[in-house]
Amino acid sequence: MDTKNGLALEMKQVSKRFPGTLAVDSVDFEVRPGEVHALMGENGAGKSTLMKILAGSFNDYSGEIYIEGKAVGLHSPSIAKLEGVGMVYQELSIAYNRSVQENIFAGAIPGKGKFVDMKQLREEAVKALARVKLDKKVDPTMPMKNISQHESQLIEMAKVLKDNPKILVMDEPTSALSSAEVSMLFEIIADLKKQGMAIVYISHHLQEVFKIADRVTVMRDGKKITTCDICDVTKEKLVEMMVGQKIADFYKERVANTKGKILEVRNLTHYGFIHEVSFDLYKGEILGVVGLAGAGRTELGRCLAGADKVDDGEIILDGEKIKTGNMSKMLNKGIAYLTEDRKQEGLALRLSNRENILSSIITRLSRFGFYFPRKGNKIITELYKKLTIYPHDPNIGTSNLSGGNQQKILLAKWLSTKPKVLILDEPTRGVDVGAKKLIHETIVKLAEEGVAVLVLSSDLPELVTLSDRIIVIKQGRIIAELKDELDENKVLLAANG
Amino acid sequence: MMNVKTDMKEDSRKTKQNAVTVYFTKFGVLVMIAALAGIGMMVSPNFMSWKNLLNILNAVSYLGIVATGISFVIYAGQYGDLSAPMTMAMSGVICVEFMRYGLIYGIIAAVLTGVIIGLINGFLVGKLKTNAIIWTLAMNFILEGLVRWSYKGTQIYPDMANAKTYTTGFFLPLMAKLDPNILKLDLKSKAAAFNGLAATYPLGLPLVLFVMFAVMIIGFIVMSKTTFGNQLKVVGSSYNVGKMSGINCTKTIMLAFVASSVCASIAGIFLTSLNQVGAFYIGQGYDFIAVTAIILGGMSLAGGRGSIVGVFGGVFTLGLISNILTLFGIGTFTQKMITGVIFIIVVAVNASSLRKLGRDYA
Repeated sequence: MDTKNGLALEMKQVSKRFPGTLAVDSVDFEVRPGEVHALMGENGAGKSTLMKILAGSFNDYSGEIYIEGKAVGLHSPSIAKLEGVGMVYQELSIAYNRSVQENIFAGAIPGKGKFVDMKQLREEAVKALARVKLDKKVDPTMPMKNISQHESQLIEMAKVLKDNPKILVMDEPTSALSSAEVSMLFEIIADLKKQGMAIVYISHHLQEVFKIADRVTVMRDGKKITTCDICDVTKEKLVEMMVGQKIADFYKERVANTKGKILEVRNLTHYGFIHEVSFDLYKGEILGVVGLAGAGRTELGRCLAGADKVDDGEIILDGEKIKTGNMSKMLNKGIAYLTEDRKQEGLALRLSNRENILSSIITRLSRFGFYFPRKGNKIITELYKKLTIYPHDPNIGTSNLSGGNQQKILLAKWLSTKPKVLILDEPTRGVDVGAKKLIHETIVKLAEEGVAVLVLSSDLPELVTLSDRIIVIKQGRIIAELKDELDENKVLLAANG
Repeated sequence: MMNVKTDMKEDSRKTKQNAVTVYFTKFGVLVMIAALAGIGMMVSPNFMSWKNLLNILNAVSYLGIVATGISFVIYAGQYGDLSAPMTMAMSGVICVEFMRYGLIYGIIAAVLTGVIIGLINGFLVGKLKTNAIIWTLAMNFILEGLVRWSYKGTQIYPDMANAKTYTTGFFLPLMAKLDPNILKLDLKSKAAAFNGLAATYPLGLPLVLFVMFAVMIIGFIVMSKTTFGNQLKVVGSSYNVGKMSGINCTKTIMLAFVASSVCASIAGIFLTSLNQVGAFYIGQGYDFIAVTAIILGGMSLAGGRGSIVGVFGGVFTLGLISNILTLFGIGTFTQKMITGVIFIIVVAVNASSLRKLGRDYA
């Protein structure tokens, strides 16, 4: 590098004020070329805002930004792109009805005069796909809707990489990936590193960060806490810096206290998704379900909850055989399902927290067709206290809450139904350490109160520490059941076996 | 075990909306009414008289009934019910046909027509998930064809009693076949009763005004106090969330469309009575003005937001505008253009305020 200090990116005293709050407060941040720099912090710590400044989303930030030693003013997304900033967001921006190549070159399709040069488009697309190791697997003319979730994510990355960015920012790139796919992504990142690209990696996953990052910067309440080499810190120290308090025994060993069978599932089948799934669930038990992406985890949860149709098999709750396929009936019988897709299926972000929490029990708070929301006041006060939801006012809009608190609202929504069987699909996806711990404690407490909990999660450490028993699902079938001395390696082996 | 006090931490992201935006969406229509009243008083000293205000209300009472119905569809996040004009016309025509057996039968038949149209709309939009705008537009077209075809393009008059009527109508030939006595029914008094609907003044006020207030009060209670109304709010805010909360979304959306069509039917009966003729053009343009009034009253096109009180405000505002323009001596055609411009401005403001709040998820 021909710059004076050899830094790919240097941000000096950068601040961004929103009405009422200083979201980013005089932060210094630097990234070297050929380095993976992890950016960590709880939800609402200001890391997304900092990266949005870098992507040119705001034109009213203060402070100085240098890219390869040159002072730049990142006042619009197009300037940021020209200066060499590439962002891979958590949410994909894909036109599903267009082909892979058109998606990669969206807005910059090569052409001869006014006509599209299909040959060149194809060649360039293959080159772009090669950078994410998909050139052998994906035909660039294929429509995007035929591409799997994790390949879509890589294609999104290819789209950013084709502009040859100097700095690549990835926001939670692994949140929807299974462990095999994560290691593939890490190989790609290692390659990019070798080519001298500066990479900013935002993640809540401690293990991933330790595996891949060279340095880490921790933010809290809009301020930078520290930047240090990854080998100089421990997991406990990192968590402590993020939360601002010391956390003694992060996961507590728990003795399962199960009483009586509550749910029997027999030969549950939804053609193409799950096949002849049978298991029992006991009161007070936490049963983990593990499987790679697409193995049928979510579909199992949806079938049990009545959200998807069931082709065959039966569900027996508390000795009573229940007709499947009707969500409100399942809910009244005591089976609640917390969806993995909070924004689309979990919470109506335009409603208030109060309305969201009560949305699943409208009929229960009704008499003769009239709705009495005041009857829900006690439930809401209780749940707010139990889950320490911030801000305390339940009447504010859900869209104003941080991700962790939104997840707590979603949990509260299902707890308000007083379920006998609670199915949690990715209960802690994308939430910060503090909220995660609280959600885990709540799950354990529920189990102690006698609720049967089914946890569907791709977060192995979470499953292993929470569950009393784990079933492994592959291609829609249960292939193993693990009971005693659960550890991650055992589960991983079973899931990939 | 250490307790992590996440609740103590100040979250560093934006949690408050701009106060001006909040007040404008809540009370914007009141500000507009006040401003218009001010202008009106400057133009004419008689503007604020009871007589003039009642005139304004009377002029918009048909609109008020239709708008209350359509607001349920918009509240359900379905943009609007464009089949309202022909629902009005068809209900009027059916009412005229069946009132031969008595006014009450005419009204029941007309309202049933509304229920059926609403159920069809609701089934297609709620169950088969067709686009509401496109479908109701098509439905309007189908109904127009049906009415014009079955009456061979003629209008039908309540007191028309000659034999010719019994060969052109849709139900009349059938009725004449089943019951030959129909020809001997005394139509004069029946027609007078029907035509009197729009000309009845209990307590010195037009009947349709009472009906509008009744429809609005019932609409307000149904939308905000009932199980259905509150489920509709969740479904309107996010269809998928409603579905995953155990709410029967299809049924809820169907009921919203039924509410819309029934209100259109009621307005159609009165409008037909006012015109003393049943015809395909009764109710033309009401869909569009009703949506303008609803959005003007602060209801969000994205669904799940707003109230019937706001709808009343929007309807009243349109009445004031029309009244003031008339006082200025501006004709009906020009007023139409002005209403169109208001529609565009109101929808643009509605959409951009949603975007600013980052809430345009729909």
